[in-house]
Amino acid sequence: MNGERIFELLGNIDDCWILEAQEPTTASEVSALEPTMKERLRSFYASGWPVAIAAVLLMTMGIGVILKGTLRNKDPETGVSVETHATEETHVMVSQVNETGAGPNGVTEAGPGVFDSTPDGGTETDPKSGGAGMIPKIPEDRTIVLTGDLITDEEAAVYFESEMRFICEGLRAMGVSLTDPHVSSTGYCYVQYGGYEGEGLTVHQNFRDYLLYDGEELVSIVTLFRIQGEDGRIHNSPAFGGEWMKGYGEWLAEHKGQELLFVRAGDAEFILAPNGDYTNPAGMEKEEIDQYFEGIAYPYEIFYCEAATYTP
Amino acid sequence: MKETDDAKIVQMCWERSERALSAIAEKYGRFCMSIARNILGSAEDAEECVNDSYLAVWNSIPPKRPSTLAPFLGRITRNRALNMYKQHHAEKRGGYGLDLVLEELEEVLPSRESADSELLEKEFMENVQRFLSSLPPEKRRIFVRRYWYADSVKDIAAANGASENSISVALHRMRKDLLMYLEKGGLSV
Repeated sequence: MNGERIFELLGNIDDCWILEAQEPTTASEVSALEPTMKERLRSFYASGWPVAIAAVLLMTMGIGVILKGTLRNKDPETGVSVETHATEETHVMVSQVNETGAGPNGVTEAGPGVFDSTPDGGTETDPKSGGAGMIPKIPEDRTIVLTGDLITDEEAAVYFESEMRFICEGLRAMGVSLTDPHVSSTGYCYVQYGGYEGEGLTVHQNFRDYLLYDGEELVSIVTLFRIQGEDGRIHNSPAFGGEWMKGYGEWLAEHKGQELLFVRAGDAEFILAPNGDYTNPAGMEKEEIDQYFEGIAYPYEIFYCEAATYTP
Repeated sequence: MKETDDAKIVQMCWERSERALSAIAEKYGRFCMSIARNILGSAEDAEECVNDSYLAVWNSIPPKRPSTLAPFLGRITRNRALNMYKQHHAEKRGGYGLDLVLEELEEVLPSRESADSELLEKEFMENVQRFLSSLPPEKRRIFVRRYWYADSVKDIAAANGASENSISVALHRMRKDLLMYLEKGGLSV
């Protein structure tokens, strides 16, 4: 067998995986998603330009603040070291907060239209995060930046009311059995870092996950997302299938009533419970997960952001 | 023009209505072109491949009656494109969009020799199916986009709003995991 033969054999994977990974290339899907704008935006985000633009803006504003003599040095009482605020016109606000820095007080909100990033996220040159199988470094600046146009649970409820039938039809076509489908009334975002080069702790509020159950069983996680420049239109992308979903559902059921926190570090995903319990839905071993949070006694506090929580 | 349901297209093929071909092209033209182009690299070759695929669909329905056309048509296009790729490769012509993908797949070669290659391949595929079931959907999509759709890392990164580096790392991890999976299944050393 060689690479060619393996590629040939992989042609026989189940239809459901092919459909699951299918991009919107049929004519109706294309017109529904307006991919040109979507692709442009995604390419733009992935290109690193937003980071560069934000950095230039921040530098410019920093110089402005210095010139005005308003840059504050570290306050021994509060531990606040530097505070820089952009003008409202630019819709950028980045604050370095106190050094223990966790929790909702450390949350910073960025306005629409600007992709925010702090420069101390995971880097490829960092020995801890470099090379294959890298573990992104937790940003030193623990400020959590909220970006994107928030999808509220109320908006989601309205959306599901009209779209649930089509979502279910799509899932059924892909082999998911649904007899009593219902979706969670609240959703959650992710606190993430390391996914983009140089990304700090960020919550993309325009991506929000909702849990789709069939009776008691979790069968799909439906991501609702909104693309900037599309007049607020919401799209959906359901994930489903495999042992992964089963394990995910079981873990959520075991932690019923707890305010769970959803974190994404690079391409790895974690759910943290306030009692210190945690899991990686993909089945990562505990030792490996610990490497992600090395030196952090209570990651839940560090990453806490209400928008990224869900209470099953 | 309103798209035709898959069931209607299949029915038109059964009735030998040539409108079926235009309906397929209308609905799945881009889908097929993207697969063929990923594999062949050239738009001209891809177009030829896609036209052949439409004809193959026409010739195989009936007797077949696929419930969803995308995987059926996608598979035919993929196989045709791969055959063209092999032919071009033998003739040493064309841009080989697939070369990198195949190089990556060499990493997961089962090293066990078997007199019965059919059995080995069957075991290999069973393991791959189980492996895919075990992946989180986001990762599985990335794997399938790369090794079924032959998408470039750049395109996958753009579609996922991620950097090319993080997609390459994710793919590397998955190949490594697949190799371990095959090892457990006794297919590799």
